[in-house]
This record gives sequence, C-alpha cells and structure tokens, in this order.
Amino acid sequence: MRVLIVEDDPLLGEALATGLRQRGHAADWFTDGTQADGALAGAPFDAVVLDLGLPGDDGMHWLARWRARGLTLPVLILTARDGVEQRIAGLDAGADDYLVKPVALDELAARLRAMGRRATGRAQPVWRHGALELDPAARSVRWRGKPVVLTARELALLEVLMQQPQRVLSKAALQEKLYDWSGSEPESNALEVHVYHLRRKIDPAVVRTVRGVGYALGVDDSPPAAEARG
Amino acid sequence: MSLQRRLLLYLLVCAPLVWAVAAGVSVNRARHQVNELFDTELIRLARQTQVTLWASPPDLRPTPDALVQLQPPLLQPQPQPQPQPKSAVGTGNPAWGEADVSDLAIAVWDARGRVLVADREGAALPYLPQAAGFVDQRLDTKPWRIYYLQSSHGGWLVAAGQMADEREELVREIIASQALPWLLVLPMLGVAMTWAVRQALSPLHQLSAEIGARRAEDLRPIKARPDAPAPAELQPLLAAMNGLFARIDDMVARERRFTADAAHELRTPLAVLRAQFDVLSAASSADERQRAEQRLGAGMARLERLVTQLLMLSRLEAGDSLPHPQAVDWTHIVEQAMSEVLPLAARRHIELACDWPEADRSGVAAAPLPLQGDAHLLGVLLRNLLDNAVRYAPEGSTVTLGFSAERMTLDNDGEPLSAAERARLGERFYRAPGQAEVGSGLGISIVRRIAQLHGLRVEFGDRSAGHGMRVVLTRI
Repeated sequence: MRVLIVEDDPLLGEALATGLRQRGHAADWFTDGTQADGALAGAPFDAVVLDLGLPGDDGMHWLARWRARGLTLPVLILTARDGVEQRIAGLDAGADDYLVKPVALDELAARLRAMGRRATGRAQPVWRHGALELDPAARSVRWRGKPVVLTARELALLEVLMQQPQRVLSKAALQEKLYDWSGSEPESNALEVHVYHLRRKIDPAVVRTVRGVGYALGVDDSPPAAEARG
Repeated sequence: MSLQRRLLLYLLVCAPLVWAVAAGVSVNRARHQVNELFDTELIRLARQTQVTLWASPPDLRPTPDALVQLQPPLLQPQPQPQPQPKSAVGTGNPAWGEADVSDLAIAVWDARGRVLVADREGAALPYLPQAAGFVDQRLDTKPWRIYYLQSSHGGWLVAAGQMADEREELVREIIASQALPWLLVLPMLGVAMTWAVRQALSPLHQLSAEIGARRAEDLRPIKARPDAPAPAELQPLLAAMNGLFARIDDMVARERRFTADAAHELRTPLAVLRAQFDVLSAASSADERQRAEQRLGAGMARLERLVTQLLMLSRLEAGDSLPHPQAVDWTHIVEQAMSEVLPLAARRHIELACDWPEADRSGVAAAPLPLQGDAHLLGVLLRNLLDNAVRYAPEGSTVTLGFSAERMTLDNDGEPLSAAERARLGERFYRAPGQAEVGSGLGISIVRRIAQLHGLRVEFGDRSAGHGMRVVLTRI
C-alpha cells in the first residue's frame, strides 16, 4: 500500500513515514498541501494521511478540493483538533477516517488497511486466492495452509498483486506501488528478484509473467468451492 | 450579628426607652393636673365651709361650747340641693361613691383657737393660727396637704386637709391604666417589628438566595427582576459584584482558552514521541534504531521546552503587575541571555554582538533603556528574542543587539515577515509557515506579556526596506 502523508511538523512527518515503511507500506511525506497535490497526480497512492493545520491552505481546504475533483482515494485525517464539530466537519468534507493525535503507528496502519479493504471492495480481513492466503494485519502468508516467511518487500508485492487478481500489472505500475520517493531508485532488476523469491518460496506458478506487459497473479487452481475471494 | 437581629434589637430597646420618656412626661403632667384638681377642691371646700358658717344665723353658728360634729354626709342638712357640681365629698350620694372620707378632714377654729367645727371621722388637723394657704404636714406619720383659710374679719380659721397619698394613688392609677395596654401591645409590637424588619430585608435575602443557588460556572451579572428592582442601598453592592463577576468571567475565559490551546498544542509533540517510539520499537537495524533514538530525543527536548514555556506563560498571565520592580542592569541581563543562546549561535555559525549607547562630547554615555523591572523576566524576554533571531537568521550572519536611552533593537538578516504574518506573530502557538526550526509558537507571546508588564511595546519590522528583521522594544 502506498501512502501519502501530509504533515507540516518535521519530526512527526518523518516518524509517520518511517513507521509506515517499517510496517510494509510505501510512504511519501510532504509538509504542505501544494506539494501533496502535485504528488497525487504523479503516483498511484492508495491512501492519504492528512494533517489539518497546514501552512498556507489548511487540510480541510485540500480535502474539499480533491473530493470536488472526483478523487476517490481514501483519506484519513490525523490532527490535533479534537472537537466533535471538527470531527464531523472533517468526515462530512469527505474524509474516510478521523484520528486525533497522538496515535500509535500500529493503529494508524490498521486503519489504513481497513480503508484499503473498503476501497477495493473487500470486507474480509484475510485475502484468499486459491490456496494462497494473505493476512495484511498479521503480515502473514499461507500456502496450502502452511505459513510462508516473506520479506517486507515480497509481502508488499504479493499484496499489490492480490488486490487486483485479474489484472496484469506493468513493472512500472508495480514499482510505483512498492517504492516511495524517499529511498534511492530501485535497481531495475529488483522487481524481478522479488518475483523470483516469491516463486521459490511459495510456488513457481504463483506469479505469471506476461511477456512485454508485466506480471499477474497465478491462475486460481483450487476447486471452485474453496474459493472465498470477495 | 445579622443585620436583621441588630435592627430588631435596636428597635426593641429603643421603643420602651421612648415609651419610658413619654411615660415620665405624662406622669409629671398627671401629677400636676391631679394636684391642681385636688387643691382646687380643698380651697372650694374651705371657702364653702366658711360661707356656710357666715351665712347661717348667728344663733346657729357653732360655738366652742356647742361643737359641731360633722357627720357624713357633710353638710347634708342643707335643705336645697346645690346647683353647682360638687366635690366627691358632697355629692349627696348615699353610697358615697368611691370616696374615702377618712382621707379628708375639715376643721374650724375661732380666733382664740377653740375648735368650732371638727371632722369626726377625719384626722385632727393641727391649729396653725398664722397659716394661710397650703401647708404640707405629717399627721399620724402620713403626709397631708392642708389649706388654711383665715376669715376676713379674723373670726375663724378654716382648714381643709387631704391625705397626700390620695393624689399619688390617682397618679399611679392613671399611669397604670396607660401602661397596661402598652404592655399588652408590646408582644404584638415585637411581632410587627420582626415582620417589618424581615420584610424590609427581603431583597437582601433574595439576593443571597440567588447567589447561593448559583453554580460555579454561572458568572452572568445579577439582574434585578423588573417587578422588584433592587433597593438603592443594594445597587452599589450589585454593581460591584457584577463588575467582579465580569472580571472573573474574563479571567476564566482566558484560562480556559489557554488550557484548550495548551492541550491542543501538546498533542503534536506527544504524537511525535508516540510515533518515534513506535518507530524505535520496530527498528530492525542498529542504524535505524540510533536514528530513531535521536529523533525521540529531539521530540522530548521539544516537549520539555513547550511545557516550560507554557508554565512560564501561565505564571505571567496570572499576575497584573510586577511584584518587586527594581532598577534594571541591562549589561548583566545581556551577558546572561547571550551566554544561553551561544550554543545555538555556535551551531549555526552566527555571530552575536551588542551596541551600547555611545558617549556624547562630554564623554558621558546615556544609560541604556533605564527601567524599573524584574531582571529575571527581562532575561527571559531577551533570551526568547535572541533565540528567535539566531534560529531564523541565515547561517553565518550576525545578530546585533542595540541599546539607546529610549529603546532596544535586535537585528538579524532573516527573511522579513509579510504584514499578515507579522500581525499573527503574537498569537499563541502561531509559527510562521515553512520553518525548518522547531519552535513552540509561545516565545513571542511570552515576550509580549513580559513587555506589557514592564510598560514596554514590542514591534516587529524590517531592518531596512525588504531586508532583514528588526525587533524594537520601546516604552509605551
């Protein structure tokens, strides 16, 4: 999951970004709405963590503007404004969730996952695709009932693929989902390495290569009765 | 003692006192009237006796040999009824009314002192040949008042006497007849006065009931109801109390706003600590851990600074004046404040300087901004200003403090603030946008408050047109 963080406090913004990355998400952090607005156009974010007290136009202003533009991605407001009226105003302006500072990073991550589930139309906390099970909250994967140990990046890659099981995703699209702009550019073959590891650890057929286009989740080879994907 | 009780006490003590004075006056009047009445009766009795004796034929006149023993009723043998009103002694009423004949006496002597007429029942009146008019005398140890009437030809001496007690008794009766109803009315008077006092004090009771029933947060002014306006005596008290309420309300509102602001502002530093702690807990490499620890430390330092400043501001807001103003020694304060910002200045490679007032031709330098104040607070003020100036000055520049007799200036090469930003600069927790440095947004509030306590004004402006920042501290 790639998260856009808009937070003007340098210490907090940095901590949020680092913490979300530790929890397997790609996170980009900006200190004002204008930069964040530009970033939204430049990358396929899955969710926004928005502070309200921003320099220049405040968070409510940007939220209203994004919603007016037809932007549907989930937005979580994270702010020090704890009044009931403010919560109501925030949710009514189009926020999907409203958290008051301070917040535990695990809670923030859980809420982002919940928002992601709703956005992709999934209600179940555990995602299934044939014999493959992924629990984003526990960050665990099972293949034919047995646990598989994956690195954070491998898990993130599998998560992206499982979000849209029918789609073929280009390498560029996958990279944008997996990598934020914080670190150095991923090496060109990094994605291939992760795919290789997934096939080795789970099953060679778990990821299909569509030559010239990209990757897709392997064919669901389990009996139809076992399919529980929502 | 309650007002009501005091009023009642005064009234209940004063009323009998006033009555006693009135009673004294009326006793005096009554005694006078009674004396007059009885004396007149005695004179009339004596004269009548004399006239009767004179008018009777000489052969019927009493002689010492034929002593007339008067028997009740006195002068009864007179054939014609007397047309004029008579004294109690001679009413002709066989029942004698309430008269006590033994209190009355009459006697007639001839020129030689022989008794011609004597009152058989009355006391024996003494023969005083030279007496004329009233004589007070004791007879049988009782005081008598006797009227002696000498006949014009010197033939007889008539004396009519009455026991003085009779008069006193009458006076006492008059007084008693007045006092009795009064004593009976006294409890009613007490009840009436209690009611009246209570009634008169009822606005006071209403007021205290209203205030007593108020909740602590209800600081609305006390308004008299239109049907029962507060009495004139209570108006100043009400006005004073309403004034106090308004001031308390103002103070509470200020405190509340401050607390709300503070709670709000504490959320972000707390969120930093929480997030950095979570990052630290989840850190997988030593490098990551060290970095997170560093950030956590910075977050804690910031929270500490914020709390310190909050406490400082809250203390400053509490008082309205300086407790012990003293002549201010700026050199010492500047040394202290500069020492404290020196580490920050060193880190940012900023030079600190101070210009003192220059000596004039006679070689005497003006005192720098002479002031009565609190050296500690002025130190806080200066440190906050210096800290800001150093924090927001470009690296490698100079921050200069300047003193003259009228003002203090502080210059740096920082970006000048826009007019809108400058206007918001004293607002609590306001931080100019786009600042990399972490501040609480309270420093300027503290500076302004300390300046206000010292009768100083703080102004923020450009050092020169569009370049550099200048803070000016002048007397209001």
